[in-house]
Amino acid sequence: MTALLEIKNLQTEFKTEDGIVRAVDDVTLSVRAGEVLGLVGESGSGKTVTALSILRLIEKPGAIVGGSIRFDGRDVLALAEKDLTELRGDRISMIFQQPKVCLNPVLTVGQQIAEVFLRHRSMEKKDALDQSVELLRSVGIPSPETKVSAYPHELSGGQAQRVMIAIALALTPRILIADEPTTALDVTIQAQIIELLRKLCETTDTALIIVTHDLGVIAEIADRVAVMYAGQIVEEASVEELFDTPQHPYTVGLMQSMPTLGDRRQRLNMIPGSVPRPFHMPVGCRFSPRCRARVEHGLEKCLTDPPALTGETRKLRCWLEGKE
Amino acid sequence: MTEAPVLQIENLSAWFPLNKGMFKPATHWIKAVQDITFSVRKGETLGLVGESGCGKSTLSRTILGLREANTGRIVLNGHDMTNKSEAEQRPLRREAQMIFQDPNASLDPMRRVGQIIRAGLDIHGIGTRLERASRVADILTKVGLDPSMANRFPHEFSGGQRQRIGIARALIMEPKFIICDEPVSALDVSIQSQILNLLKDIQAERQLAYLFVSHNLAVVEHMVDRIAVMYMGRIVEIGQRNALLHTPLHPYTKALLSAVPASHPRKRKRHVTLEGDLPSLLNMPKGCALQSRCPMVTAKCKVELPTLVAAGREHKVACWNFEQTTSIEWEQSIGAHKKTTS
Repeated sequence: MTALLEIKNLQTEFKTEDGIVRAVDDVTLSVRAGEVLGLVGESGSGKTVTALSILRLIEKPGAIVGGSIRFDGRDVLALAEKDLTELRGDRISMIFQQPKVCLNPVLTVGQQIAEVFLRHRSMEKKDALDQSVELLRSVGIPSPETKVSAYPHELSGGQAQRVMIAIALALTPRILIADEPTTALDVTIQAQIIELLRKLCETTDTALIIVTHDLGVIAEIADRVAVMYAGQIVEEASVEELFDTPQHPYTVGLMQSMPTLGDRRQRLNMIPGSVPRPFHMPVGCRFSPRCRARVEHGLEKCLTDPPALTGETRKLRCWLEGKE
Repeated sequence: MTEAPVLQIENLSAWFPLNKGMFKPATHWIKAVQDITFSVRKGETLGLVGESGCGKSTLSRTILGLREANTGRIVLNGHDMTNKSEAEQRPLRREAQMIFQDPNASLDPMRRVGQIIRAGLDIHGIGTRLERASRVADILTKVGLDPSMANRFPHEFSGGQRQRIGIARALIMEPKFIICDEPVSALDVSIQSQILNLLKDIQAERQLAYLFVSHNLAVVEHMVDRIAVMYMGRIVEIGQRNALLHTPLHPYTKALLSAVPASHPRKRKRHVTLEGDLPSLLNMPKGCALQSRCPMVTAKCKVELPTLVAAGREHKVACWNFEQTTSIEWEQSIGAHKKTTS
């Protein structure tokens, strides 16, 4: 029951010409072994920066300025660069939205997978290549013996993402972070990749943190979900609770604005307005200018006091909690 | 009822030449769009569905005259566009406009919003300066923006607002037909429904015909009356929305539908996925383009190209084996979709 990864009050900032942007503000999260955590939010909500912060991949002018990240009992923020290398790729690995951009175009698929073994495990080159073939087979690449010597441009988008997954899983990490892993892929390929990730997590007990804007992907794969808005987590719940009874007005709005197959509504519900800009954060609740529920309840507090994330297993950041 | 369709295309094909030099004829052709026939009526929306590379965008560009058709006919509002010169086409083209996928890339960053929206009027020489300015103000109000915003630059707007500008630019020409090319896929989820509702309102008010291009079947279901499914440059199935979604006949349509993510975690199911790779457009196999990935493939599929045949009222499919494909497993997975309501 103890958490494998524990993030507390994380704050990540970026210095810009116009001032400091706090992209992640007070994020608290935990992940258990074998669990699939969905991190859902729109562009600029801070979901990707949260994911990068876990691996300390935030580069200047960005910096983690507050909070703590503990992985397997160790303080990630206190690790020296040398120990970080061991953490990255070995214990926690990551895959990205555009697999073709992440692969090195002048190295073969096999070389890129083998590199992981050569750098992290002192393995013979031949053994590393043999392992690569096995990995390619396990992620469902057809005829892996020949594909191992293919270059990235010879792969389709779906195959390239499978190769990325193979590289990420090469050292059997405890946590895999997937940042929009299917967004750049076609729908039929997306279904295949989701299926693959689900199967791999079930069989290897690897925890998966999946970052996405797509509630459909969340419904397909997540066990637990954290919804982010403007740099903060606004709601956290098990995936079934979240879809059955979304509580935060933003989550409710998102669910209702998304058309689903078989939906017979003539008009979709809308969330009025748009996401706040970094230097124009509302003073109270960050969602308050767009919140219909606030208007219905006539709550003034939302405009002046920022609500905190409260609750044990099910968390909510909203002053309207309990008011029906 | 027998009103002529706003857009009618017949046997339309668009090919790209390969290895073509100034004096050297092309050695190969990429046949991106092949033998497409459909029509869109006044007030109707036809959804065009398919994955990347299937020819959706080439087809859209060909319809608008942004590239030449290699074969076939395009009839817009009763005018045959095919054998007309550039000058003859120009006044007719006003009637067909396009809304693009990426509102960041499709608005000139150096021009003010008013100029961008007005450009069509300027080019066609419509109205006086004052009239144009007042039309821009009207159209901005129509799409939910403030008329005073005409003096701002695109970067001062959010993604959703920029897409509204794109819609205003299309509407100002008072078209009869609009191609919406993935109009919401670059937008945030909370903004998508605003734009979809706006497109529906405008259509109802002006009786516009839409060609709605998208890869998102849930969005397509919400927006359209009929659906055409494209695969490797050809239409493989076309029909009324409900018929096509509830009793899909082509194996590719089924795979597309099955791939749509669940709308609720309790509706997770195994996806019927297509195995195998797409053939190369350069070297298309004889017969059906889906043969390498199709679970129902037979000997005939490998030698003879299936043509679109009637399979129901206004429902056509290009598959040799469609009568055998209505499996029970399939019915069940659709049943799960049907129950979805909020």
